[in-house]
Amino acid sequence: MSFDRIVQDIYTSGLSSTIRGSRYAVPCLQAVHLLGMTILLGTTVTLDAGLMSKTGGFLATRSAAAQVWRWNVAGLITMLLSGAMIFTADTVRYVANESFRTKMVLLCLAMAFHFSVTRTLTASGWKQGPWLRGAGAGVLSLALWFAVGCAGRAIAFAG
Amino acid sequence: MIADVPLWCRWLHDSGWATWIRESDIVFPIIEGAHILALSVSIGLVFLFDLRLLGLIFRDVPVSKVMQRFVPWSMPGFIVIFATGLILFATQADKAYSNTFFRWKIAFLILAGLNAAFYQVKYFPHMAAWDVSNKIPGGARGTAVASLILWASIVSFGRNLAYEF
Repeated sequence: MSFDRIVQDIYTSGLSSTIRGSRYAVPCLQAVHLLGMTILLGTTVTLDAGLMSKTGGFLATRSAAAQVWRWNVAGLITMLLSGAMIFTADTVRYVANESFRTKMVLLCLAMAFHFSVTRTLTASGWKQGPWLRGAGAGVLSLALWFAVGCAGRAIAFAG
Repeated sequence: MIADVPLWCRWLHDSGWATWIRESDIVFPIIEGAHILALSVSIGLVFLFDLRLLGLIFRDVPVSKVMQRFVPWSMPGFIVIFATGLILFATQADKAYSNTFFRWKIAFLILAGLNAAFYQVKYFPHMAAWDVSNKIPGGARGTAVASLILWASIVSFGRNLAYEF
């Protein structure tokens, strides 16, 4: 089955037409998507600030780091689920949108970095290491997530 | 609808710089992008602070310490939010003025400001008394619940006001 066919099948599905047909579904989903983003970015900044600091900030203890991660993943899941539903409502238009495709590539990169580098450096609390390594990881993490947000915003403006 | 828009909104909307920003393919999206990214960080941190007051995160970190660590990140974010928000309003002043979601957003922003001021006046000066013991006064927890509801609503109104433009 080709990719275009899958996109078309999702578009013609009952779920897609239900979301598309509702006056309130997409605006509500967009609001949830943005609220998920506030939790995700708020906690990501907490992780990155810890990496950039010289004492670990909130990541100084294993339990604090675990709590930040719990809310971080909750924010990410909220974003992914609401985002998937928004996408379902208008698959054909989103797939044709260059900013959307860019956002998906950046999202994959950000998530890969997040769950490999950031996770490894912070999951069991902050450990003394080369400051430059932590600061570099923190800056790159913020840059990647901000780039995802910018590409997301550009969907509405660009083709 | 346009006839009801006051003169100062029209003046802002029609000013040279507002027109330039509104019609720019690059500047307008950048300002709006900065607004959304800054709000995600700052309001995200406000949410985490509220969750701390409710005892749902960082229970072993004193509230004063949480505040002390968040402020250097959230304050610059709030400055960006307000600066970009004012510019965005100016560029679309006529539409924003008569937009129902925009009016709700401003009303809730004022309430969120009053709620934060109430916390600062009533609970912040005596924080040392309950900070370490973790016995957070019911009123302070109430301001956290109010803050969560108000800021979540502000974000939702802000996202939805675009649908009425």
